[in-house]
Amino acid sequence: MKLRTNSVSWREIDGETVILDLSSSTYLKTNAAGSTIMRLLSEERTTAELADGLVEEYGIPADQATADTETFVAMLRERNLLDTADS
Amino acid sequence: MAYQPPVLEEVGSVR
Repeated sequence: MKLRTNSVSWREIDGETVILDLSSSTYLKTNAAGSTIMRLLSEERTTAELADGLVEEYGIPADQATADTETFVAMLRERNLLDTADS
Repeated sequence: MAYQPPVLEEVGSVR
């Protein structure tokens, strides 16, 4: 999976990420951990790779990172912010 | 940095 690039723009500001989805005309934001995942999702990633990013950045247990990543990815998917050709 | 689980929030519409 990776972030949809068509009609979606995002920018990191003070550790948070602001996302503009032109297709739905909405602004969204993520916190710091969300920004870590957003950064990784600029390229094709697996859930495991995203969870590893949280482990490396925050030193949290792998199972917590996996659960949190799956929850966050579900939020992104619900907002149609992912390219889901092969997730 | 204290860890907070990743969250996605809607800020509002462009309009």
